Amino acid sequence: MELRIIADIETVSAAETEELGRLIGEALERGAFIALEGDLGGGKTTFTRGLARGLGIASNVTSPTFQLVREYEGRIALFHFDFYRLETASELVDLDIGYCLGAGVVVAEWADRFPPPESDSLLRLRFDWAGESRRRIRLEACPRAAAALEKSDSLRLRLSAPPGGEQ
Amino acid sequence: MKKRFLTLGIETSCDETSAAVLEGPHTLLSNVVASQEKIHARFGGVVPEIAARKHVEAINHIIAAALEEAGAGFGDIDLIAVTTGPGLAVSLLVGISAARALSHSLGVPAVGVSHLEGHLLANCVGGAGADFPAVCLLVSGGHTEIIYVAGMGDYEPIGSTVDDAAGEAFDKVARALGLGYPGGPAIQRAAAAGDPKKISFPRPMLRENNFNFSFSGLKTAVINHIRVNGLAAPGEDGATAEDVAAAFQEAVADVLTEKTLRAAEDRGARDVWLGGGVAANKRLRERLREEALRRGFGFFSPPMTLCTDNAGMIAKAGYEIYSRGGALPGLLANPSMGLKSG
Repeated sequence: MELRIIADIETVSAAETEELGRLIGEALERGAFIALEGDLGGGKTTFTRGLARGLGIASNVTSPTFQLVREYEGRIALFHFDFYRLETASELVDLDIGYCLGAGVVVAEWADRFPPPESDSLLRLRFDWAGESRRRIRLEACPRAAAALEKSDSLRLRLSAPPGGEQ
Repeated sequence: MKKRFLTLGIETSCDETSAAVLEGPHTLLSNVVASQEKIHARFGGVVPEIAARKHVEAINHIIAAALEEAGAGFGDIDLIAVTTGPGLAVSLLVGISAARALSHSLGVPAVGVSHLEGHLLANCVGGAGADFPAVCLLVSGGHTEIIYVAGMGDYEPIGSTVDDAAGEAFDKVARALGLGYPGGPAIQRAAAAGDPKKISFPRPMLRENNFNFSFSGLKTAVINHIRVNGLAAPGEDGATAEDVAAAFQEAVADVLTEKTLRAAEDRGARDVWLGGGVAANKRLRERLREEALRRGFGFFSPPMTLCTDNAGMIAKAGYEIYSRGGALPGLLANPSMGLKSG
């Protein structure tokens, strides 16, 4: 599916990265797949913590690295995958990723290891390190996901704001 | 007259295939472990599909070896204890299938055991050392928990990591430093040659008034340091990879030690226990032990063979659950199981 670049964002703190996650979480619908890419320490965990808040999840988001997927209950359920330790895409079938997409939102760390699963609502975020607490984030989305994001005024504002523009 | 009660323990929750024979409540007759560490080192972590395949290849041999070392045959087994979670579903199923088959064919009961309860009760194998009430720090690749142990079978989780497990932080920092997998031993080796005082990393959550941990931010602080300052070559100014490893290890040991002892003080524990694979870290063991003794607690940590994943601890936990009576936890895999078996 065609993804187009929605925004190149710069966040100046972990709190801003988390807030971006929250705004995206609030705008999303069931069935969305969010691919996270970028090095260790890039902000994937921080972003996911915010995403969970936006989906109305109260509990802590802990690392999925060990058990490969963690599930959270909220306004919409969140399934947090880590593809780092998977060897083949067939293991995603074992982990029932199709069911997860039907039941909620799926976010995957190290998502570039495999092609995205079948979903008509795809987002991709690429995190690049730009300084101690500064991160460059490229947000891409398919038309349907882009339309969902555009409905949120606060997200639209955030995406067009300059770095640190929240203050 | 039958003179001994034998429990066969089986553990396949992650990357070790293990079987053990426990006699009565205390005596471990065998505890055989086949590690896949070398296989997974190539991938920088455990690969589930490979792990499951290796478990299948190894399980029968490992059970046979455990029985042989114990001088026992299949007919001597009275109880089977198997890890049913937490862990990788595909791996758990290998041990569970073996336990089911043996239970049916031998006509003996089988009990499903939480891997975490196993780690906890590793402190009680041999009947040595452990004194209640205790506070146990359980640290491994997938877990960082503080557990209050009022007595046998009476546990309460009182703190855990809010993001990454401690062992995972070791793996990720080792990866960032180019030290390889598994991260724990690699960091420890490098740290031994480094100066922990060259840099001071944050002690996450140390000021907060709870028993939780956070290691994701510490990992990011280490990566930030490497990105901003680079790593000095030996003899150059600045921190070398060894110095960074030492400073990171010191920060982890500090936070784990301080929070565990605060919990022990808060709960009025007599003993502080340390379990899980990260207990292999000498610096952590030393710090926690010294500090526990200094503050008037007993300190206990099982030998390393019982700290890393092993079936001996599963046999022990299974035996305790069985001898408490009541319905036995079943053999359904539960990848996100907590401390309570079943």
